[in-house]
Amino acid sequence: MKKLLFFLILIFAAGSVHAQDKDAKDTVVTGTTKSITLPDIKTPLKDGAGKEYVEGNCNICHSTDYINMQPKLPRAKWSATVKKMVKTFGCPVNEAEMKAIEDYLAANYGTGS
Amino acid sequence: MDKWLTRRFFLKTVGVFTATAAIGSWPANIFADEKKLVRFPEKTDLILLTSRPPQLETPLHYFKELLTPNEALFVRWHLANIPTSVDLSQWRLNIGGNTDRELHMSMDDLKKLDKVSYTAVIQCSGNGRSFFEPSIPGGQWENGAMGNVTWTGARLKDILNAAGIKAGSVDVAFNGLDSAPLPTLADFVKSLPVDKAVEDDIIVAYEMNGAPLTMLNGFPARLIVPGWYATYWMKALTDIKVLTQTFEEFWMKPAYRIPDNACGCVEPGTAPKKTVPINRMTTRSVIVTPTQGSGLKAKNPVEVMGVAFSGGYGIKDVVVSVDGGKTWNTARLGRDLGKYSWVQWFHSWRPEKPGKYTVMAKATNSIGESQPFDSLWNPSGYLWNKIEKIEVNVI
Repeated sequence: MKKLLFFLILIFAAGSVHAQDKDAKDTVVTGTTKSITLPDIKTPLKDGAGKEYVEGNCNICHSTDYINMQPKLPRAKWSATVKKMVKTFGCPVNEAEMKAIEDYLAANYGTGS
Repeated sequence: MDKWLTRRFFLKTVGVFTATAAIGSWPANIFADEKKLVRFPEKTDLILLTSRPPQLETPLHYFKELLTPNEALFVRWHLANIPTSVDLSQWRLNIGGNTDRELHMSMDDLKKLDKVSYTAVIQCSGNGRSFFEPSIPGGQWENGAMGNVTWTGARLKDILNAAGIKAGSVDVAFNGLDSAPLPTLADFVKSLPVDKAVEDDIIVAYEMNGAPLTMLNGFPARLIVPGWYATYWMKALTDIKVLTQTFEEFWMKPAYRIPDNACGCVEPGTAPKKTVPINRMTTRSVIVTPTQGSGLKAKNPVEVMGVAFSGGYGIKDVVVSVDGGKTWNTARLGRDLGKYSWVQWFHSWRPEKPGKYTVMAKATNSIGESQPFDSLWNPSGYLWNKIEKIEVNVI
């Protein structure tokens, strides 16, 4: 039991040192250069048909928390958004994938209308 | 029995998000209350909107302060490839186009120019977008895409004059270090009419609140267009180009446009016939304390406090109502840091009886511009300045 406790304390101690390290090192100034390291933040999407097309394509340009953030939108709005991403911004997907992405968004982040 | 109650309480308060995430059919406002705080480099804990590119909102309580701390100022980038490393010995501000000469200014060159300093509100065009009805896709900001900062830098006019603006110039375009992950996605470039660009108060800032800019707020230098929405305040500025024609690439047209009429508004859900680039900020006030849903005690004094600002005309007065708009009291205004700064306002209130109260605040600027009781709607969710209503419970 004592051994286990010691082991646990060791893990926590190592963990906290690691966290401090990370905080200190996300901004580094070397000579005339300033550099930052961006955190890797993942916000999961709902499971549903077509999710792989959303994750695979939308992530090319932006994190998918862009989707979680939106208010619930009617299908027409999601359709217009997908069209804008593909036709205006050039997301490289075909018509079938566009449809799968739109269906996923309307089903999981839609108003049902 | 106690155990059962405890378990029930636990389920109600803690389990609600896990349970509803699976069902996914709770009203949207339950999720709106669940804000995720994240910490980015040189920043404190801010509200996550998106992580790549980063869009981070300032928690409301920071607006109790007259100046917004650098680490708490909101973050908003458009394109995923944002600068994460800048070598000042390599960085240059390039000025060219329809000019007598091309300039490639170093930070030292920039700092040799006349140094100008003032306090100005920086506010995203979409600040408050999440309050619009019907709702509007885009960054779902509440009130935290704004801040009040003392900026220091060189006049844009001095930089342009050093290059020499030639006759026939129409627009001046600004580009920064950020870029798009796809060649088909338009680079984020903004422009100002040349007559606007040479106004005295527009600067290229290399300091915020007396310190170098944070990387996420545009290190090493950004444009400051006080009184105008921050979409023009190009971060990590590198290129200034004087043009002989109107600049109309994506981020100027069709993006960042408002209806071309006096209110910048249309019937909710409809499209405007004609649009213009968004420009000067509307007048608004934000209630900072008490917060929505606060519990207060009858006969105890409470300080109703907030901030008010307008697009470069200062604030003449702020009136506060604690009875849902039936009667109004003139608020006391705090220190005046100039026409581009926000002003803090205060109203001492002693609620006499228990009950629900509706607190409202309405600002008017020095040229009579004020705030509407009903929201003015536009398809992109810009210019939000409806008079706020905060409900508090007095016990």
